[in-house]
Amino acid sequence: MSRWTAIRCRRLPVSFRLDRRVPPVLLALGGIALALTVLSLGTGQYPVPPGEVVRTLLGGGSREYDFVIRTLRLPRALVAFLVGLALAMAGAILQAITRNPLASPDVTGLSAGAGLGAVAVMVFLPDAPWSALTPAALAGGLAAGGLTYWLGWKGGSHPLRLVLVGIGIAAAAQALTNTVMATTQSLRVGEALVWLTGSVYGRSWQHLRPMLPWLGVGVPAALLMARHLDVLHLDEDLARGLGSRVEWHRGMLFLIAVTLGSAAVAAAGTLGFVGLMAPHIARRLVGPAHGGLLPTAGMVGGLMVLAADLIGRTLLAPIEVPAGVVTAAVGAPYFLYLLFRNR
Amino acid sequence: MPVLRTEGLTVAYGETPVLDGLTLTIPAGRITALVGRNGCGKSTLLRALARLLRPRGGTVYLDGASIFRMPTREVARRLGILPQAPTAPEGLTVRELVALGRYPHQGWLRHWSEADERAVESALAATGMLDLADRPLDALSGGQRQRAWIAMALAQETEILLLDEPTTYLDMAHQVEVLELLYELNQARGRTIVMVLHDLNQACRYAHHLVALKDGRIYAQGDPREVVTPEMVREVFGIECCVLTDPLAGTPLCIPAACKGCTFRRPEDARRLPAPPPAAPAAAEV
Repeated sequence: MSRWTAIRCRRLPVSFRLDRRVPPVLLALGGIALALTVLSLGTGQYPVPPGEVVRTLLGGGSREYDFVIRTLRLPRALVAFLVGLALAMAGAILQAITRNPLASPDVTGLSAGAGLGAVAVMVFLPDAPWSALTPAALAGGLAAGGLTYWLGWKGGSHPLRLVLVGIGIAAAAQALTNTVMATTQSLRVGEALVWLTGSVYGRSWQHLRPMLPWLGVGVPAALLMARHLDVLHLDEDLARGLGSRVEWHRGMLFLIAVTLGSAAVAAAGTLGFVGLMAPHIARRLVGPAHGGLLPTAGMVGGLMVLAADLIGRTLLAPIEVPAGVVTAAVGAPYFLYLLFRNR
Repeated sequence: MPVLRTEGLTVAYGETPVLDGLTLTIPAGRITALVGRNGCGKSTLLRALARLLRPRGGTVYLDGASIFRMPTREVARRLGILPQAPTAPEGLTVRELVALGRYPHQGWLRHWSEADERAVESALAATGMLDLADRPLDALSGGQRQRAWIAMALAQETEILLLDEPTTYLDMAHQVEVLELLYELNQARGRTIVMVLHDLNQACRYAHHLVALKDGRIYAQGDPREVVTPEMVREVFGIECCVLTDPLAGTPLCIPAACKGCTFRRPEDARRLPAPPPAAPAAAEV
């Protein structure tokens, strides 16, 4: 018995198939995300009971609750979720097009490039508003990602070369970032340091808004290209034999991954390992077909950052541990495990 | 019937030409086997036929049009290629793999038409993979996995099917099984099949048309019963042999004797060899 349900329109040439595993998994993850959001919104120096959180979200809370929940904590939770979602989808795309389970925005130099772009703005233009970070990070991410792709492309971009070049570019970007930070007397170095670890501390609606257009383009584009990802995930020769315009599709998908990854870095700094781990967890849940994998990875990634932020806030309260430290604490051992398994 | 042919095909890796001005017409609706020594260019020829390699000179024509100028998707609807030892991502099920064969038939919003579903089911049935359809590929045996790959190529519903050593890494029973499957596809559905084969005897048995390559050129081609002779085998494979008639299929059967420069040894000869030097005394056991 097939695990697929066909969805077809009789009059139009529109047809899809749905893996029956995907809807329940997405529903469950969505439920957990909602519960975690409510929990996260109620937790902090000024605790709010879950019932009040829900009532406030629906617009029926008191004025204090309204301020704490809707002005302070909700944008932060949304930024956390969307950053995780974007990183995870970027990671899933990169892992498929490089056919490398270790690929992620961190490994391909994309995050480091975006980080460099944003730190440069922070340090050299201390008066620039927060919204200037987004285009700067995107420029850095595109430059580093483009450089990786360009240097890694020689008679067809070989998967392994792309990752090796990416690691080199990441190291170079990191070194440049360190140089920028070490040679400046700017007061924003401390802020940049925290931001570089990846944190959603103090994120408000004005940090959330610049993300939305990029995700609004990147997420649907990624989903529309899912079937190309499935084919690219096979052999190079197989993909060509099946009629995929391999270089074109890979280039497009790389661009989508850079867009998603850079938008995430601009909003929350370089949150490590989310883009690496979430796709692996999602593959365990719904298998490797990207139509189901991409949304599942996105949900898992969102949950991871949401949870990391909650843990970081409560673990050593009132001291806040940046979410990036929490994801790294979990992610680094996982990366080693993957390395060990893929020896 | 689709006509696939090459004209003056020259392919080079760096400076070394692998195929040297090769002109060949693949007989439509028949099975063609490409044979030759390692490095003779047979896999290169197959890859060029499938537009996976860009030739330095000459071209490949599919019904008169150069396949390097045709939209690659259109080529993929008419010509399928199964490379040697293909790999698939971990956890992919047989059905998911076979469904990928429908890729060239799908559109932006048309991902799973009734025709797609029918093609996948019939490919699974033709290869006997229906029962294993929901198993992950990595949980299958080598023979089953190869059948799954062939099913993917079948789901592509192309008139021409190119296969690079479809029997490598398989045991004898699975080799025969795969070749029988391909033979049946050719007989029942009239598919044109071109395959690279290492085993000359299998090529003789299953191919209508044999193409023997030597140093990037065609040394001989035609019906195996006419082409396979001791001289041809000596020139193409560099081996002395005796050609008999396969008692089952009536096709040529090549029994290798010895390589150029070495003498033939039978077990009796081996017995006459000087005795090996005495083994070094083993370390004292405690």
